[in-house]
Amino acid sequence: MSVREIWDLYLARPELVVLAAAIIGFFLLAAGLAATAILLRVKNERTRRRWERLESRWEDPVVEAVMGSASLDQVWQLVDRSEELSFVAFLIRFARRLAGSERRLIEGLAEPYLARVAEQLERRSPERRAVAVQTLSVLGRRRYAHRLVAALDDPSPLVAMVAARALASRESPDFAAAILSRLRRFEPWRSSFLASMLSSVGPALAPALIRLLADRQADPRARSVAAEALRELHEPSAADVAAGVQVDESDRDLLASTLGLLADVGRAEHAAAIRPHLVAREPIVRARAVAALGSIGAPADLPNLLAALDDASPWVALRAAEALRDAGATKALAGAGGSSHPRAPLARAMLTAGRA
Amino acid sequence: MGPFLVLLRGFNLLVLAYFVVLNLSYLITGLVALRSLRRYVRRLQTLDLDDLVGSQGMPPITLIAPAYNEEKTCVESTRSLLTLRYGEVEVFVVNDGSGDATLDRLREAFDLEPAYLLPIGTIVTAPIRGIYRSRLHARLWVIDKQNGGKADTLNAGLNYSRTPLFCAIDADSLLERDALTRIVRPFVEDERTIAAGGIIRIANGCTVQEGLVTAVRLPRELLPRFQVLEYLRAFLAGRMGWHELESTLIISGAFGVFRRDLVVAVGGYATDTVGEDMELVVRLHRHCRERAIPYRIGFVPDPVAWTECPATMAILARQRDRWQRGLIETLTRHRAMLLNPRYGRVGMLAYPYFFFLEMLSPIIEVFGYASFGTALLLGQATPIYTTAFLLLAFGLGVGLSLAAVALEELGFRRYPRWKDLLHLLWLGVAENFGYRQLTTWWRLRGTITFLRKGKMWGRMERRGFEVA
Repeated sequence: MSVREIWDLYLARPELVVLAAAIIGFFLLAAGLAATAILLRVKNERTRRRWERLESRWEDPVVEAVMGSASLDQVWQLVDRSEELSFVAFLIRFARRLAGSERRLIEGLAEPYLARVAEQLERRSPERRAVAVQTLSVLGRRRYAHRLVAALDDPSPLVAMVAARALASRESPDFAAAILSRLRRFEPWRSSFLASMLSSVGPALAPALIRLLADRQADPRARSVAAEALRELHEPSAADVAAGVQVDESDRDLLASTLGLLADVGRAEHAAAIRPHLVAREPIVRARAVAALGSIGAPADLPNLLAALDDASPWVALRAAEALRDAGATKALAGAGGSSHPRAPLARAMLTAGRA
Repeated sequence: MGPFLVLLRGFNLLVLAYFVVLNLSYLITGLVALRSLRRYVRRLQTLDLDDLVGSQGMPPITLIAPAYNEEKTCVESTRSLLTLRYGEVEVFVVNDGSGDATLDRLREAFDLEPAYLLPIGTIVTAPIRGIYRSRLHARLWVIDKQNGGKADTLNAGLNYSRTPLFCAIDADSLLERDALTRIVRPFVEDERTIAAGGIIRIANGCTVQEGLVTAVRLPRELLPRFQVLEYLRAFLAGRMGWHELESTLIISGAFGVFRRDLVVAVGGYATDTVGEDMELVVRLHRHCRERAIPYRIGFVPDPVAWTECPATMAILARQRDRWQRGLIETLTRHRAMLLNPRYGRVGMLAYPYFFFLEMLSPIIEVFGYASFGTALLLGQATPIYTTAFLLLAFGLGVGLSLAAVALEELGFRRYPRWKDLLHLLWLGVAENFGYRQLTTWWRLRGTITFLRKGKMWGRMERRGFEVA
């Protein structure tokens, strides 16, 4: 069919030509998609084979270098300019499995190529920047520390978080302050995860965390995260500040996390600050108060704990049973278990199985 | 022109308009999914699973697996749950008054002993007959209850769950080892996340070893093969696209994670619908929107739950009938959300899509075929137009399926054999000749059953996984 004939047909029955064009368009689209799937498979297969080739070329020499039977130069000679980033990606896998001098050797092997990785920090794609941050943190933490700290302020939350996780390590407690001062950036993240990240820095961070917890001007959520991190660190010097929070604050999450901290590191003298929370409005606060009293309370608290078995919230009752078990109040538990108490099965299970 | 012909022409025009809008929406979600998936795959490079698994900050989670007459697969599935790589996880298998030997199989395989567990939730369920704990795996609990249906069974598990999150799965699903770590990520990265769904893939034809899928192959039979393609289209093109538009309305009952407190607050799963999974998600949207609670509900494409799909027409027909009823029940129950700006994008975008396009599609499609045929017979439509329209529909259908295959290649490449890839591409063409029309017919039957107020679940006969 000539163009002229198509044009004539269009003038006569335009809708038919539009339909035909749409049909051809969709069939071409379908063919294109099939071709895309096949091309993607070809590309992926090629990438896989290339990786296998590179791995087989590098694996033995790198192992030999780690064992000291080959020099770094010998390995570097096996890396072409176009393969530098692949080599770094290859080394990362080794680095994650090694420690000490072996790890340092892997870092040494990567060192000449890290400048190219650092160039990736300027890429537009946040995902690529995040990968670069992760790579630098594993293989060039010291040398590129300033770039990692700067990445905490990256416009992308993903990059900032990868940087924070990379910097929060026992090997570099000096960077933790930079993370702490930017906690607000990570507001959407789960607080238990943030606390875990901070506690991975180790006891060196405890003083800064205690200062944050004590700071009444600070955001309650940040203080709550600090309390959880201190709990994970089992930091006894945080107990007094945590007890002070019980008196001065009303934020539910902050109270709950500091009560948790007191349960872990508190002392008998802190019990007085905890007791008022046995009648708090929020069940989570009552439950944590019961648990804390079970841990650090006095024999005089047993009636309170026993009464908490009747709490409307099953969480509080459960914590009360656990607290009685931890306090060695088997007689009280046996009494409740043998009675017609609505939570008698709970008390009995706590006595027999140690959990319910 | 008589009134019948006017009506006929009008209806045909309506079908045409519907066809254009439906396919445009598929195209848009597909394109959005493409963009989203590319970004997601790049983002996965920053994922250090070992680091996440080792982190104390990952929220504890309870897996709730309802089991009803699952004697053939329950041991394998439970074993799969126990091999999951995740920090704090408790596994609840809830036996919904099975009439077969499900409980006995579990008792033998996991050395169960009677135990006590304090119920935390207060959702009313069918009576609990017993609670057991495994002597071999301290994290495994089996709750035995009277039969009450899937939603009731999930609620029973929910009542005993104590973790901030719970994961609802089908008892016959096999989760991949890292599936839980991957699906929980949105909850870690954004505290507003209240629910997330993973991808469901078809296990028929795959090799299963100790509760894990070890070799991925396309099923040998044609019917399950079509479903592989259907699932790829539904998850990678559909749900990924809706996720990107922040309008996820469905999380599959076979694999979804939820915030326990919020699900309890909305009363748990609804027991008076066969679409309890979708209904819960819609109710969560509604609850949060009406109370101005900031929230996110999303889809995560990399955590995988493998499931056995129906291999016979009769069972597949019952499943599609049930899905359609579930869809209609949910959408009619929450119709106040339809085109209501109070519910944001969900009310203005996703809800109208599911209501007018998904829910009504079998009716319009089947009557469309009939009215086009009538118009053709009465000389009201020329064969050339009808052929052109059918060709257009065919081209679009093929295009959408092939887009899903391309998305799979772009993202996850779970079918490593060239043979399987080429087969998937061929299935994209073949499904248009009979399979699609059949599913449309089954969905129409579901609509009719709904109108007759049917609440039947339909029995799924398990063959069991192909164990190596």
